[in-house]
Amino acid sequence: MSRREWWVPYAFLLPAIVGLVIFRVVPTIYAIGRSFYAISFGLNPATVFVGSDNYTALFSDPTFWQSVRVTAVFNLIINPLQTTLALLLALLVSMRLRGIGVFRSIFFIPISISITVASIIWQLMLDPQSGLLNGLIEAVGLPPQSFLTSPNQALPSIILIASWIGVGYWMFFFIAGLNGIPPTLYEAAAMDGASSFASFVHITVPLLRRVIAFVLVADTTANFLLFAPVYILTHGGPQGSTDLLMYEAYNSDFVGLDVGRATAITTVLLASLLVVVGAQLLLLRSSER
Amino acid sequence: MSQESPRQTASTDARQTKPLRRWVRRNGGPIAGKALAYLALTVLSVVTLLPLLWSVASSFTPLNDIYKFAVPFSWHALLPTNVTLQAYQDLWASTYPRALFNTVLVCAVTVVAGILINSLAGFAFAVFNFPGKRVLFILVLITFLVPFEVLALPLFVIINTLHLDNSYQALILPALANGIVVFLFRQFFIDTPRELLEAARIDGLGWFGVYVRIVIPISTPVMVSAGLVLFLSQWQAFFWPLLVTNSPSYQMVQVALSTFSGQYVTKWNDIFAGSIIATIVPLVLLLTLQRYYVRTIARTGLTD
Amino acid sequence: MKLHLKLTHRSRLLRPSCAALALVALALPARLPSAQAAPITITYLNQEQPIPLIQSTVNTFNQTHPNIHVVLQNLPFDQLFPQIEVRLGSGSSSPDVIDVDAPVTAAYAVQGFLTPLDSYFSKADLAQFVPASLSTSYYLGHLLAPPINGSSQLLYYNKDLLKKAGVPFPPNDVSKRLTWEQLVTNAKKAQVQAGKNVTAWGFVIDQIDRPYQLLPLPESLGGQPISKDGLHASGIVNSPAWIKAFTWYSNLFNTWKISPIGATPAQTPNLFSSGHAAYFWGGPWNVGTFQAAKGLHWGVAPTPYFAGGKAVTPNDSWHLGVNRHSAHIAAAAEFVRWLTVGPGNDIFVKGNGQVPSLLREITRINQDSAYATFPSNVLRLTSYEAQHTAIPRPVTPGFNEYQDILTRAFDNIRSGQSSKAALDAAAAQIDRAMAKYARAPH
Repeated sequence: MSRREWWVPYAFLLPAIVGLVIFRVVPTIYAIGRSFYAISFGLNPATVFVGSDNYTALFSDPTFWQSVRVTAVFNLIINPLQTTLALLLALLVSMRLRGIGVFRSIFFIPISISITVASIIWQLMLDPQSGLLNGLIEAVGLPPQSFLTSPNQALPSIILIASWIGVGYWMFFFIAGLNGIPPTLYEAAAMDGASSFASFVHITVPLLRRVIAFVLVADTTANFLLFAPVYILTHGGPQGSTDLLMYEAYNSDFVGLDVGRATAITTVLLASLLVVVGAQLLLLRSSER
Repeated sequence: MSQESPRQTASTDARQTKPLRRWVRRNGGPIAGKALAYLALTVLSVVTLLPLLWSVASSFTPLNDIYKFAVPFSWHALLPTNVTLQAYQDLWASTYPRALFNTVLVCAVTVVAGILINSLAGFAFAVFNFPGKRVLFILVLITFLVPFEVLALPLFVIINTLHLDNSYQALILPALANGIVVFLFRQFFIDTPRELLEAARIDGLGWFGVYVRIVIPISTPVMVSAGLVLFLSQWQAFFWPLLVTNSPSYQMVQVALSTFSGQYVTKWNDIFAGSIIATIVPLVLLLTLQRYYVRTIARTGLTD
Repeated sequence: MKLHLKLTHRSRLLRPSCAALALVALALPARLPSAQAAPITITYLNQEQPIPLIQSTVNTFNQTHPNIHVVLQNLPFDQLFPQIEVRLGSGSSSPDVIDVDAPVTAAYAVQGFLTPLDSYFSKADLAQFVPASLSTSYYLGHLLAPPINGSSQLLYYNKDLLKKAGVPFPPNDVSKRLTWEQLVTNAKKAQVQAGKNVTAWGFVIDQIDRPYQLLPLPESLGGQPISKDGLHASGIVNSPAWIKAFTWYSNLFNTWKISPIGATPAQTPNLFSSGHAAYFWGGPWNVGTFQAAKGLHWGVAPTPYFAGGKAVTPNDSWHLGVNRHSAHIAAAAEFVRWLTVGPGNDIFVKGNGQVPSLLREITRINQDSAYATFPSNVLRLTSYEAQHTAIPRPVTPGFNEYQDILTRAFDNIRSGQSSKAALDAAAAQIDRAMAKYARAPH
């Protein structure tokens, strides 16, 4: 790029940055700023600056720390799980097999279902007394499970539902990434006598690393901010076992009339996401060499 | 990797292997592998399809029959005996068709304009070095780390200030620039061979020309992926359309669907019928676009 | 952020746009030469009451009030609440009139969403309301949201299932109510099982985990819903009456197993209408669905009570409020008056078959012979309950949190947590959530 063209990258960036600043950055600054205010309720309510009060209250609230634990466990399990499953599924449906198109199409279906409808369907499937899943479990002679109504099984059930919805979606990006790997590389490796597993490790993974980074980051973000299944199915229960931070934020905002608490939680979420996503990007970048 | 040419290695390898082992490696392995692959595919397909079958069946079932066979679950719930098109007739008579049209329109504009805007930005991040790049990239990252729900109120105020409430613009404008899509494009564009771009520059193309003539034609898979993200962001949008539009002329499909669940009565059959239609449209798109981004490969490393 | 510091209300950012809107509003009549011909337009944010009914009611208003034109905006129930929070919270001048779920009146009041309507209603107007319905319309001494209708609960039963079990039908007679204890005995007999699977539940509760429906249980035993100031729950929601009532509730699911653990309020009416429930404790709004259900033979009886306690039914329902930032408060208040105590209410209540909130409508139902026979006699029963056994939900600015925390506690009890542990935890959570209202300049 010559000196005279210094403006070119900025011109390429301009439309996106303008849109993001108006419709995302400004509201975000507002939301973060809002976390330092509280409402003084009354017929003529006032918003008053309270400094770090919302954060102090948050950090001394046992419900918050319960949510932090639930959110951490949820994300430690679901992100590696979904990313791995999505990659395996992408490889599986990229195989040259008869009828593979049909299978691929089947896995695409959950992508287009709304999360609300998916949650409702799964709730009926997982009903402890009348659901299909317990019917199948009992048919093979095992005791029925409580699923969403048990403090031990509710979070795994939510992970199951979220993965049923999500894996097909993330698979999609891996399929697009696999498209970019020249088939000649595999042919060459095969002639080299490399095993299939070896070509997976030495060709597929390195050449997919940017897509893997994308899926990991995007999936982590989506799951940190996920709350619809919890909102629809468990309301954070039983006994707080599915009380994700984002659900707490939504609840504080629209149920608890406590926008200060909601925006404080969101700011905490944003900070933790920045750390996690930053670490993921650095880690995947250093493994590039 | 080996310094010998691949062809040579392969042939030496073949010569040294006993015929039987060679046959197994060529055929037996693949057969066992294929059987395993089909087994995995079938199991996963059942897991994927079973919940859906129930909702498809329910959409053809009279409202009062839906629970007749679902509690306790019987196979009748998957094969409706008393087939009715009532739910689909309800849909046709409701605001649903209009909402479908609105959503298709909004999606189309968002996908086309969104791909252009975000891919330009992704290209800039992937290819150029310029002052402020790191700061701007972090800014883009932050925009998709914040949940929409807490942005709703300030965003609503902005849209009102611009006098855009109750318009297609209110639905489309905030969705065009999308941080995650910029990031997606950057990840795919970063591997574009520099020689290709330099060669085009020497041929006298401007940077925009390079982008249009060289980059776009080799980027179909990422364009389709980005299109999917943008498409779904609108197709499944609910909270925002609900806030900024309140006339049926601008109603979006998920909002129309939600009108079937009331405080007292939930019309499950209408909900399922509506969601099936809401599922089929993106599905048909996905399937027709398959050939542009799927490439089947002989060896993926999953089976031998 | 400097800007934020100076302004006081939640809607700081919106101020310029409010001004702009006001300018547009001012400019509009000026542009139209025949200003008097153009009526004031007000918008009414409505939760899916039967849409044709509310639309035709509004049409009648528009025809009889040439100066005001009401535009209806319909929203599904679940979406009404976040909509109101964002739109009124942003200080927007639209909508002018909103549907207010009775118990959130105080919450809207302390956020400054609603305009006091005291000056638009005369003493004679107020005397026409059923007292239980009117009580939740006030907060801090102001009339904020008068009711358009009330609500109630009934005990529905499936005649075929009871007959098969040899259980007599409960009488539709308020002097011969079942006790909850009798109901359990009968429900156990009427439950149908095929092996381990339940094919018909003994007893299903409509809003299975919501305070609206469940508060009458502890209240039947003399329990209170919340402290007098509406801000404290410890020692109240975990009092002996509550623990006793919710141990009974827990037993329904965990000991006697006559109620479904996993069901949600959206599913429960379908269980009864499809013949999967012997008894169903639910609202009169289900009558239409049950009448339409093929092969279902059903009857109704009054809500039971605990032996040694008293009969209590829920009552409150939908109210109307005027946006404090509305540009047309007088016109909006006129519409609200017309629809709550004026002729609009008669049109509306006749159409929707809900429990009336006006005494004259209750009198009409008791006198009109059209309500003497099944199933429209259901309205006579619910009208009786509204006047004699109804206790509305508590008045507290934190009703949303109260409801949310209790719903979670009820779910925990359903899935096996002891009622004492669940209610103790809920009481502490409610107190914590209410602390922010103590800042309020009451």
